[in-house]
Amino acid sequence: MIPLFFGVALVTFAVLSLVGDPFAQMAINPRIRPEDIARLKHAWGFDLPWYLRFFKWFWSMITGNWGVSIFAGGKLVTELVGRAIMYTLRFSIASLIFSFIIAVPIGIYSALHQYTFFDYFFTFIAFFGMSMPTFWFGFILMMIFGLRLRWLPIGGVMSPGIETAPFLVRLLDQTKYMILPVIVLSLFSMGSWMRYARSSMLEVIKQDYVRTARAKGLPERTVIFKHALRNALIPIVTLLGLSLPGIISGATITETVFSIPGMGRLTVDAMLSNDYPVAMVCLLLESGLLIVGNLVADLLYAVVDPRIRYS
Amino acid sequence: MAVEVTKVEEVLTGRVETYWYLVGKRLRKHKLAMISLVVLIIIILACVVGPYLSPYHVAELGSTEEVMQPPSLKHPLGTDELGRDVLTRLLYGGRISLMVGFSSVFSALVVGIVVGAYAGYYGGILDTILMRFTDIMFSIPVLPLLIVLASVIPGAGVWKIILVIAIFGWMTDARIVRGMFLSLRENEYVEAARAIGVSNNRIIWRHILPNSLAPIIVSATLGVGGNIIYEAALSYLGFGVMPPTPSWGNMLQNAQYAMAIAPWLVWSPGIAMFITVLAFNYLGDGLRDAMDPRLYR
Repeated sequence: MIPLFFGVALVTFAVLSLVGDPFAQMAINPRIRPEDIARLKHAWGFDLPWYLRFFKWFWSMITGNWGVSIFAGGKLVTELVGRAIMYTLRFSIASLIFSFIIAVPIGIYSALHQYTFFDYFFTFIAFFGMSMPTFWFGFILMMIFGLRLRWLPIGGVMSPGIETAPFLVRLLDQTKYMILPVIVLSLFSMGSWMRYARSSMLEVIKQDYVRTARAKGLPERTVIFKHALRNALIPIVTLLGLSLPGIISGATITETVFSIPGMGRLTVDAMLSNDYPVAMVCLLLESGLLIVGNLVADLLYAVVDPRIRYS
Repeated sequence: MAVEVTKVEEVLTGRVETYWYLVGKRLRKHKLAMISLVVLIIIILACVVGPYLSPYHVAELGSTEEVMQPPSLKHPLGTDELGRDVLTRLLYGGRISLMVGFSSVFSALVVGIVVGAYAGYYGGILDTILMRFTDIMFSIPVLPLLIVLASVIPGAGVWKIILVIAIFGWMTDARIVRGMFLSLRENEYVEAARAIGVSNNRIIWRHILPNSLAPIIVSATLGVGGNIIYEAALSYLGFGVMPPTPSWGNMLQNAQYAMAIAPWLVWSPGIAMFITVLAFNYLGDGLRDAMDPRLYR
């Protein structure tokens, strides 16, 4: 796991160093003296080759010095990232819960009523969700609910000038801004959750022990909820672990469409301006979460399924 | 039951039913997949032939009265902010989007198959090295790096986007192929081939690979749809196919700002993309059902 993390950091840093150093742009400004640029380069360590910079950077990363942003007025990286993460978490956790609660029961119900109208209908909805380009779906919702009906705001995170309002008003206001992005974020994951829950349940109800449970005269409720559902949930729980990284990184496009100042935007902007202290922390948070998510998925798998034992 | 019926048919017609024949037969029964196939063929034909039939040229600018006109008889899908005919651009953009979809999947597939095949066939240290590398590539957040690569690699050609998408798209294929090779290399026919002195490379490409095609084809079909969306997302953010070359993605790039006055600019590229991707997803699903050995046996 640690070597994996190191490898990810190395590859990311290498790709990022392709952008060039952030001070190269200044050379075209005649009012900045070349000596000053050289001084800045030296101060930030950009006169070193990228692999040496990597080790310097990685060392300070481990020792807890995450540095300051090159461009955002010398703000601490932790401060910038912290603020962006709060926005992103708000949207992604809401959509994770929303899509999970809706999609998994539907998927299970479809599996129990295979080839009925309900099943076909929601299979179509699932495919619909998976085939819909998220940003285009965002446009459509904005056009209908924002511009035509004027029910909901079309972007941002809160109404201007509301910061001093009482808590409840602020909460209501920010919830209004969350509705459209959360629907957009949920649509895609809802499709895959539904398909996943459906196929996992279908697999289980064909098993012998389910037939045995029915044969010994247990009521259908008990068969479904106690015997089938518990086993069908095992792969779903794993998927929950795997969707953990999406909580932080999965929303760049949606954040851009709805102008939310979250992690996705912060990462992309930082990478494009080569604000590498910020970009690297963002990327490593995202990939770290991905690695941890995989580990959590494995562990959860062992916890919920007693048949699996890791030696 | 189904197996027995086909056996009888086999005896009666004297035709041997191969695996691929059965796959085709099962696929033809999958209505949605067949409809999708027809829709895809129509879309591909329209995109290939359409631009030649259109009275307008892709880059042809309209007069000032023709800027941002809603759909009419003269321009069935309206005109955009430079007075260009949206239908012509849509068909031409479809070419680009489909080309990006197909070629990026193909290039990713080549890399994925090579990596997966050698890792799975030889195992050992080669497997460890290749799969660690795959894990690393898997753990990197794709979109930000795609954007950086797209802005770093010089040139504005479509091939650049294909390359960028393929660089981060081969890992799933590699894992699938490796899994297939791991299980197939233990088969008797591989042992038999080895016993008569067939070289390793020949065993990999001629003996094992054809038998592991089914999941690769499914993943490729779904991948084309996925990559069309990827290209669109990149183009929307401004790092994909560069204007004036149209693609379904960059046609939507400016549409967001014109949404209040020209909603038709939002509808047509989006619907075209949605239908295409939906068709690829249904086709992939149908192929998966048709090729699934668990249903087959």
